[in-house]
Amino acid sequence: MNEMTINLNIDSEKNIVIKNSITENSYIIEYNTKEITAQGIYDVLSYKPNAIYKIENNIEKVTDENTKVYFQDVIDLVKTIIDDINVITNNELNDE
Amino acid sequence: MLNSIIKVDLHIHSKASSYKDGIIVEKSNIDNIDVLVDKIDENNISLFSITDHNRFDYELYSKINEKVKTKYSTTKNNLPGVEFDVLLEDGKPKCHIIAIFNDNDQDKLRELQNKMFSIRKLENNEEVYTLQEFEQILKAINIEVILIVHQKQALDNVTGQTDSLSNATDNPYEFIKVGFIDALEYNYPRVEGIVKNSLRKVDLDTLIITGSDCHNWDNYPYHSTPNGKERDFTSFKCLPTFRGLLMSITSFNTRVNRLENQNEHYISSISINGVDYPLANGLNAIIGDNGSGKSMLLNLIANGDKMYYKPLIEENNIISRTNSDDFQKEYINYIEQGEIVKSVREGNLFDDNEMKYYEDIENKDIFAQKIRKYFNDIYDYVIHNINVKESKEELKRKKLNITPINKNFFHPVVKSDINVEEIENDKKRKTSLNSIYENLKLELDNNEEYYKALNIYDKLQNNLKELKEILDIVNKNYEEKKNRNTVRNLIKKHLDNYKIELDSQRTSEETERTRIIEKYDDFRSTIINYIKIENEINNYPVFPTKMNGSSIKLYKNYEFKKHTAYHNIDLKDSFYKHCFNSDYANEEKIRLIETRDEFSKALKNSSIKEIELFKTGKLEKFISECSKETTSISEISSKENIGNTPGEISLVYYKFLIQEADKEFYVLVIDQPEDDINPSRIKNYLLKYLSSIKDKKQVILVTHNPLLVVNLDVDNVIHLTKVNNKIEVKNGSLEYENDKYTILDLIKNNLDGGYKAIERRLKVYERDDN
Repeated sequence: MNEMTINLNIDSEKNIVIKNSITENSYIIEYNTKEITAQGIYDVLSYKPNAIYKIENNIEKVTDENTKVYFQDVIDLVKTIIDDINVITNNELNDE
Repeated sequence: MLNSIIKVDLHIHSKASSYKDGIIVEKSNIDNIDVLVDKIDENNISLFSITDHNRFDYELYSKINEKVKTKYSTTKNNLPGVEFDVLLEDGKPKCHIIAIFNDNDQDKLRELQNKMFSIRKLENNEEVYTLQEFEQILKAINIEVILIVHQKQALDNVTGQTDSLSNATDNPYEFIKVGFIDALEYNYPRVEGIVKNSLRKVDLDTLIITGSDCHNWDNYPYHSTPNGKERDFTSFKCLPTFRGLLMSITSFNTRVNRLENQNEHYISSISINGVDYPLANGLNAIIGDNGSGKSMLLNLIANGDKMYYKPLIEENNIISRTNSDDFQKEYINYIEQGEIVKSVREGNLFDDNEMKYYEDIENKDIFAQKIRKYFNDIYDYVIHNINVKESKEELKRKKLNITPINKNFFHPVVKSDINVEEIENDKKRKTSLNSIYENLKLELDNNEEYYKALNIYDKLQNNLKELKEILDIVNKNYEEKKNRNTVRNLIKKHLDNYKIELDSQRTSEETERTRIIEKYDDFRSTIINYIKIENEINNYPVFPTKMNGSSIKLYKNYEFKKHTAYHNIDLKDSFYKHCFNSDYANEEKIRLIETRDEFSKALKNSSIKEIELFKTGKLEKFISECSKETTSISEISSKENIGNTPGEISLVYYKFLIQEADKEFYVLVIDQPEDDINPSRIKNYLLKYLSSIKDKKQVILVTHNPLLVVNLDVDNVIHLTKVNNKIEVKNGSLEYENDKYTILDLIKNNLDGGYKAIERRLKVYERDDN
């Protein structure tokens, strides 16, 4: 089992940096476009079989309500993805 | 004219021998010809010869012939002959050599005695010809001749003075080996065995015959006075002619002392254009050019089922006649041209409803399953690669614009998507195991006693029980999965219904936000799907290993073998060539396919859309071609290594058919049995097999091979010609000749190698040429 931590940090420009703490891969969602690509997310997750993900973020530092809602949506999105991957991994581990 | 079994006596004296034999031949003169001819008839002799000591009385010969021809036409014959006293080696006793001459040149016969005397005339009992003189005489006479030497004791018995070959030379075997003499003559039945035994010791085979050596015609067939014992004569199957005698001497194993054919049912004659041509109740060969009507005739004799022969048959008014009214077509065993080779290739040699000679090949279904699975696995492999590629492309395209979502929806957001479990494989395994279980159960129920006798019935019952338990587990697993999926589907159905209901109640803002959430979900699914699919194990399938697709059944010293085209063959290359176009006809190319178009391009004459059609058509055709069976037959204990060529198999087939097959037949009809069999095999085997039934069945062959006519020594040759659709027939035994043709000439001129076959057979002529 490989544990990977995905960090989501929002900077002063409200860009969201998603970073894999193990592989150091990162992906940026720019605030002015708010565009997020599936390939970008996939690349940052750097999936390996048996990988278990957890998520960390700095939402507590966000004060602006609208920004908070926006950042929370991204966190939730990434979390749902990670949760699904963890289900796959757990199934594989159970099969073994 | 056909030959028959006739008795011969080639050793009778007349008064012409009186210079040596004195008074005992006194009454055997020209005035008593009637006595001799009547006695000859009483003793059923058909071919005889007056062979006086060193004399030839042409007048007597002519008178006897005149009488015989008048009384018996061509059924009896008297051949010209002389018994010579010859000294083979100096210092040794003489021996008696009987010379029988061809009677086809009366002028030469008239001069025969003069020619002898021109060398030397023997005047008393003491005088003999030297070997050199004897040879000079034969040369001077210049008539084809057959030489028979006395042998009245064992060949290695050189003592005594019995006028035998073994008295006259230290090496009697050499005279036989070089072909100086054609036959040995014995006088008493017990001597026949002694002489034969002598020959067997030195591995020599030569004709041994007996003659009466009658000196007093009144007491024929005895030497001079009756001894009360019945006299045996040698019998030949031939025409009573010099040529008939010659044919018998050159093929004595097939002609001498033959038994009458006991075959009860046979084709007695063929009528063509109103003329009846008799068939022998023995061996018959039909010869002639291609297209002369040989196969038509054979087909008519056998069953007459070929409609395309009908016009020719009607035009020539051809009728096949049998010897009895109760003759059935089933009595005929008919082998058409190329039938055996075709049957071997099509795998139905000995495909006989009455007798199952072959075992089924048990693993044909397994082979088919393995090939189908291999193809399905390749299909799955390629489709997986295509899906990975497509999913990757989708991943690259997928974008999402984040729009902050207010969590406080008045109405809940419903996500009805739910994954159902894959159960198709579970279903297949359940069905497959169940089939195995039911088959085993049936096997045990039907063969309880058999397995009990082997003391394994209980063990099998336990296995069956265990299998049932396993089957129950698999069934339960399947049912549980199915139930779970049912529940999932139920939930989804209800959620979808609820969602529809909610959608109608939402505000426009809520609807917009719901749409955003759905977009989020779609985005998430794209990533998850790709991760799932990319990380699925996708191994390229391994082509099934070679399988033993054969069966062998033993029956009466024969092995009946069946084997499939896949038997011990690596079919991988063939599989790829059959299923895929040339650019993709190997594993490496298939591995690289990533798009649906490419896969469609790879499939031969098909596409992904038509894949099911491809499987039931092209793939099944491959399986069927590979599962095609060929059959063969071989002997278990044969010292000969019989090959697997159709010709070699044909040879064993004939042997089995003739010697061992249970199927009863009276007439064997074969169209060109020589096909595909090499000449030495024909000579050493096929002739032997056919010859072995010559006195038990009727055999009718169509052939182009002179060995099957001359060496087989058939009883009857039928030569066909066809001019303007009119069939003409010439027929008779090998020795038959008339003013228009001789059968031997027809063979010489019509069969490839016929000349050589006859030359070898009649090598006796060579003596006269030298």
